[in-house]
Amino acid sequence: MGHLIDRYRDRVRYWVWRKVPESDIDDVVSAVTESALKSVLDGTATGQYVKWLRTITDRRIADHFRRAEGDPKMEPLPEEHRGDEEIWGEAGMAPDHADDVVSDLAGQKLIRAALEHFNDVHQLVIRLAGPIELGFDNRPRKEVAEIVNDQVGDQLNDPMTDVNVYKIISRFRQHLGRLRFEEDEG
Amino acid sequence: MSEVDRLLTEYIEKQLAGERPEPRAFVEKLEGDERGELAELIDAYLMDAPADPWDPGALQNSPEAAVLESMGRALKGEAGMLPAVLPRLRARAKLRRDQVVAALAESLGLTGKTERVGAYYHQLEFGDLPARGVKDQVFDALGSILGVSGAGLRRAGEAPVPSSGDAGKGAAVYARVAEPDERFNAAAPGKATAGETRASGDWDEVDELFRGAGRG
Repeated sequence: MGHLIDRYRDRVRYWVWRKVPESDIDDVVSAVTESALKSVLDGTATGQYVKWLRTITDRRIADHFRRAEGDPKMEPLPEEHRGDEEIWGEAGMAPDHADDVVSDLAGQKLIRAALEHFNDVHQLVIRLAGPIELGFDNRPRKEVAEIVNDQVGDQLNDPMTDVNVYKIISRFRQHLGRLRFEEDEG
Repeated sequence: MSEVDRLLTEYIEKQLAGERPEPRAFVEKLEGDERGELAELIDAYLMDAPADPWDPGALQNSPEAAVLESMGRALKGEAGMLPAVLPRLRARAKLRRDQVVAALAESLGLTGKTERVGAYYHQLEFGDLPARGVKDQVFDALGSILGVSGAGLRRAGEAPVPSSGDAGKGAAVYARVAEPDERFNAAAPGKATAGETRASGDWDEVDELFRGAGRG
């Protein structure tokens, strides 16, 4: 179990650092760790691990701000979050947190709009390597780089690499997150 | 290549190479819009990035290790999730164990019996005291000290602890990787035996508060 926590704790700490004051980071990270461990042990952890971990992190960050704004005595303990999907669904989502785009028409429209922001080569990369929950193929990055080099290598100044693929997917996620945030803000 | 792009590339290359680059250090190299841009891009990358290599040494002294350890105690103990909850609430309130014990003894009107209150509190934190026997008065006082409701603490104490087939194995792993956070563990008593060693004739108000709930 220590293995599982350690291999993802740097990113949890980073996500928390982006939103929470320095003095409270350890507390929120501990709350995330506790929630994650409990869910893994009781079998309620579901879906893709990183996405699930991010959701838990967002919820504990939301808890933190709720506590900071309200009466601490009214705060539920971390162990009281069982079945909290309904309560915490929208809380604390960041503009760059794109993976909750729903698979309905509005969500698909957003995905299409985000895709069209990129050139043809990058669109090919996104279709091949983008997250499966957004309707893409999620193929290994090295394989995607090879396919792109085979198919459209003549259009590139430098060969596509796995690092390039990761960067393009990161930019796609970032852009999609921004579009979603703009839409949510009206 | 922009500075944002250069730093993003460098970060991804290091992470893919199995290093554990500190994302924050990269972001802090920039200011203003560029800083925000890089922060978002690294954030997005981390949704997609391979897991970091395991580094048990680095984990050992981290706050996450303290949670692992306390969860291990919860798995083995009789106090529900309290072994996981109490140390974290204490750390959040920036109180050492002896400070909580002193405040608890005072709140319960037991200042002359602080040591015995401390021994019982130790048992709660270590999962050695069944929470169902603890009276509401104790949880209310403790909740007041730690900034949560007494009812919430009772629920945590009576909550079913995850009991997967891995529980025992998990507890062993916790014990190997975790060390207590010494900053907040000062004045912890040794093996607590406050209740167990007392003859039934010696039963007093401290025993009553910590073990008397639901007692005929």
